[in-house]
Amino acid sequence: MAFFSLFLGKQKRTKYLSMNRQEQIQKMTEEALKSLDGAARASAKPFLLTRIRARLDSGTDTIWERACRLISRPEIAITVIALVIATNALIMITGNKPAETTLSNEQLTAADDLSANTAILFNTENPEP
Amino acid sequence: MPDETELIVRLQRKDDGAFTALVEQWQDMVYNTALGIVQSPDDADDITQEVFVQVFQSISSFKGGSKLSTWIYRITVSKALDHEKKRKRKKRFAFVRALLGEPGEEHLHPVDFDHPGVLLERKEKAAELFAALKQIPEKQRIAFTLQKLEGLSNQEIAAVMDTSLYAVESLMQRAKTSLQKKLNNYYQNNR
Repeated sequence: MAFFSLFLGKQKRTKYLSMNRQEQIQKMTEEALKSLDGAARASAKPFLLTRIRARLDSGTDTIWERACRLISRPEIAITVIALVIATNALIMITGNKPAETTLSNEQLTAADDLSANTAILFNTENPEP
Repeated sequence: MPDETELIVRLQRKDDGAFTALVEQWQDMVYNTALGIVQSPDDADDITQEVFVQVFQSISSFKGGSKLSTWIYRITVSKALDHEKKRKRKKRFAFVRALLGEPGEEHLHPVDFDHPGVLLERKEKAAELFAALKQIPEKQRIAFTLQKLEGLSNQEIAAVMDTSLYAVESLMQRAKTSLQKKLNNYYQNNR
């Protein structure tokens, strides 16, 4: 019986300690969330205007500088390289196909009909009356 | 302090005095917003300069569809996010270089960030919150940062993020839930 009550007591104590810790954590969380309440605005470093003016004076980028900066961005550079590789691959795949050399009968007949018989046209030795 | 419409007109005419007034008026707002997002004073300073250069160069395209502050906030958020992406790319590149055995920058940025405006007794908790902020989705982080550090209303955040009020409310709710989870896990494992 004594052991049983001791066991129950220990269980209660553990539960109490666990609850206590949980409450403590909850309290710390609330404190952290409220820690920025009433915070003053941080002030900019001195001579900011002078530094801005210096930047404005030096920062007159040409269109080429801007273009170079844009091209050198990793996402753009990688996209361009991927596009070049894909285009090359496409050209190689389509370029390796054998050219169609066989002509259908209709195409051959049409070619015969349209072909000019130069031998007849320029037969100057036997001119027709 | 000149009237906003007058200031815009003067800026569009590239008036030097107007630009000085603009920088003086908005520099802390821009720096604080950038600092909250990138969590690095040097990067925030660099972004602040970039923002004002961009404002100076593209003020002629500003049609007055929104408030000037909203437009500047938009540029700041956009520049800060671009900066973060660049930083991540650099980290990946440094990792690849390290794999190839070349020496690279080991620590590009400090792990713990200490915001100068946070009250002294809350510094530790704020650093933990900033660490958790890095792990939540981008839009949630932006909405949370604008509200907590700049004190913007949900309506103003909606204008900056070019979204609806309902969407901002939802983002804020999800940001808080995500942060609670992250912080809970952190305290479970580290305390």
